[in-house]
Amino acid sequence: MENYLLATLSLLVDGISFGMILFLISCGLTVTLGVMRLLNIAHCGFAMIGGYLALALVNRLHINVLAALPIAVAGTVVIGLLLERTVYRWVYETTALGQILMTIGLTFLMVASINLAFGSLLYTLPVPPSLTGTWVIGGVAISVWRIFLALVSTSLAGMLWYVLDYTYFGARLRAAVDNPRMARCVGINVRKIFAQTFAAGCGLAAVGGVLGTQMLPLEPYYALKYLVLVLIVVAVGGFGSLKGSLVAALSFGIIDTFGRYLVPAAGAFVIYFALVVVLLARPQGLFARG
Amino acid sequence: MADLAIAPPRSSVIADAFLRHRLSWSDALIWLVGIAVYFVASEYLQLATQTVIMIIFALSLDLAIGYGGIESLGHAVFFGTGAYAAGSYALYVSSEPISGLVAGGLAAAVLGILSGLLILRVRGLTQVILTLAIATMLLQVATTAKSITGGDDGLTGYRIAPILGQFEFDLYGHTAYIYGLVILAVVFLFCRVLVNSPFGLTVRGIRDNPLRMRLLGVPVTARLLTLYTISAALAGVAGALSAQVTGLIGTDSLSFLLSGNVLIMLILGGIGRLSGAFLGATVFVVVSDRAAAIDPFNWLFVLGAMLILAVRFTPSGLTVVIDRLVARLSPGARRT
Amino acid sequence: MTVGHEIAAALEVVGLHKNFGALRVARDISFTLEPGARHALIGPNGAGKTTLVNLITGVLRPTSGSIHLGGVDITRARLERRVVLGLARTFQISSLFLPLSVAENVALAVTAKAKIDTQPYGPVYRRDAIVAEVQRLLALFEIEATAQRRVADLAYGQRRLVELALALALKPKVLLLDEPAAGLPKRDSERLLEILMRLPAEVAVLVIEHDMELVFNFARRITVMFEGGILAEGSVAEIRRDPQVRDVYLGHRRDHEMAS
Repeated sequence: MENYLLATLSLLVDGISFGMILFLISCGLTVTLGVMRLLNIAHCGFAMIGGYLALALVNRLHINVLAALPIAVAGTVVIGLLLERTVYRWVYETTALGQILMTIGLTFLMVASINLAFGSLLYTLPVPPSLTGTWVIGGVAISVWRIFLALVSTSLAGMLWYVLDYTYFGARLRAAVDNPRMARCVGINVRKIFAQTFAAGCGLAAVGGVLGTQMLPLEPYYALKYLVLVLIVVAVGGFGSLKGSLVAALSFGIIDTFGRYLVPAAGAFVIYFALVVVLLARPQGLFARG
Repeated sequence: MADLAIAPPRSSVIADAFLRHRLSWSDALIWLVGIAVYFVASEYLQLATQTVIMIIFALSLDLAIGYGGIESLGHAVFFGTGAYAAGSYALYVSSEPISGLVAGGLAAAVLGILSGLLILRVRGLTQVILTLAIATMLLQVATTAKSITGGDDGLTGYRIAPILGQFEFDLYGHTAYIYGLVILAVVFLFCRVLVNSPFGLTVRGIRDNPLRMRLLGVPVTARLLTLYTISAALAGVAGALSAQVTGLIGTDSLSFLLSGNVLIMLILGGIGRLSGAFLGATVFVVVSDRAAAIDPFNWLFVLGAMLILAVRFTPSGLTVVIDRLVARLSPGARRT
Repeated sequence: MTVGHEIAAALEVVGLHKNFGALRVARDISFTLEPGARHALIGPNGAGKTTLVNLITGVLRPTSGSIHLGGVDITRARLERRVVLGLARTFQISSLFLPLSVAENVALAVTAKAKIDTQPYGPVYRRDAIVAEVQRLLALFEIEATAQRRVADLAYGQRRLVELALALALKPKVLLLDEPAAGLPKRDSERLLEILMRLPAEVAVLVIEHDMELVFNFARRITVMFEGGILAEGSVAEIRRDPQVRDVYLGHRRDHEMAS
């Protein structure tokens, strides 16, 4: 009985850390959807870019993943800002279908670039030696790295909340998500806020991309392969709702981890089934506004 | 009540006010080119057959997106389902090709009804995401269910009997090409009749203003479900055709890449006008074949750049660009 | 048309109430439209006219009371069902199919009414019955010349006429006109009146309108609403004489002037 509980605990840690990584990758997309009604198919590509930048740093400079993380994130933010200033200007001006197609095109460019630079092999980033190994509690092993991931991403999410709820920037962003037109009328520069948020979203996705390679290994098709996971999180949570995304990402991580453990035959299937059920019951997502 | 005796004669002014897919010189040209390819470019017949299959697939997507406004980013599901159904049909039931196409179409239609019941409850971005999720789910199923689909190795080893008991499939793809061309002609004529019909007008009305259609007493979801099912069935026929002429079905026939590619073909050619599928699919298949032959790894660069530039500079598709060019070049052309 | 021994009213509204929580937006509304009626619904802003329209068309469900259309209870019927049973309406803000041509817009209603909107064969433009009916309707509203133009390219007043053609194509028992003259310049609204006078005699018409000249010239009976209930009902002459009605309108005017 006790073993059973501990096994559950171990799965729970795995599920939460997976869910939190997903949340980090998707939160930027949630906000861009909320503010600009922009379905940025290429969003997942920024997690991939972050991951590969870290890979390059680890391989070339032989530094620790944790040391590479801030540099990789900064690099991704710069790339995100550059793209926002160039390609996305075109994306904003086209129709919804056009936006999807243009960002698919951008995703293809990312995939091709990564393929050219790194080849098509699968990579995971090495776990820093200080965080390898497991804690054994009553005969059940819990990975230290997973616990570390859960803690780091939870504190990042906490910081995100602090910024949104207690800073002037957060207040303006919330106004812009809530009612972009009204925000413009009261003198908020929605375009600028959006650019900053876009860059921040890229950065957070990059954190997820770097830290999550154990669960989402790096490969050129990363940007397309995990896109569906990210879109599911955003759709289930409700467009523009960060709280919704957090709940959706955590549920996703936990349901998926338990699903694969308890019904291995159904495998990845459980989560899609859950998705269909949720969207049938609440087509606008769990935390949709109005 | 209007007196029937003085009912006005059919007015061409009114009749001309309807969008119609006319058969014109450009249609004749398309089919002439199609037939000429057979005689002139016989070493490219496999590529040409591939093009024909993609045109059918793009036509099916045009019905859903261009005419019905159903935004599908997972249409490969129906293509793949049609392919697997036709493959299994050839393996276990009969190697007769025509009934194999029907089997593929029917299987995709059933899936169209089931998934349509889900995705038509929502609109816009949620609909796009749901089509994508359903496609991913089915891809997972196909990868897992190795006994039916062969998993990642693909489904192969089936044989297709001669068409109508007469025309054997040959190594050079002569029969396959003519077979595909005939099926394309049938599908195209079907689509043309459909979009010109009252049903075609109704779905365009739903695309533009679904609420107003409800207030005309039209059960909107039921009409869209019909359209989506037809579109799925045609995509299934395209998939079945592909399975029959290539003799191999991989899970890539269900993939997001294929869904994305067919959408790109449609946008490239022009949406909501059947000729767009022809032009878009042809340009796409030929360019992708050339680019892949030159450098298979960097083909995605070309595709990605093409996509961004096409949406930016020819948002209404190549057919519109060509229409404008023709209008400008032909002296005394009507200004519309 | 066969005449039964008992002719049902075209539209019969009995004791309609609608509450939003404690807010009572419709209070005990009853009135009847006989076939061929020309009935106007007037009242100051906020009197509950729009609520009543929404209750009749099925956008809102009443808290209590009943609505019958041609003798059929439609109190809880869905929007589409009401249309099929013979209730058509026009909209204050025109709601048409902007990318489609005028003829296509009208044909959508014609095919929906004839229940041939499901037919997947035979081009619309070769169906004499559809083309002739579209032509008849366009001629009735004098918009034949616009047949080939996209609705998106039409002027405001012309869109109103297309709306009317769509509504009439449904061959309704009851036609609900929601502020048909709103936003139209004087000359257009006079022309609109002229055209409205040509509506088929057998259709019961309920018009909600602020333009009193149009109301008094078009309607034979008038219902005046005030604060969610019915203040008065009667012939045009009776309503014109009614001191209560004058109070409501003049009082309203005075408030309005003081506010501005």
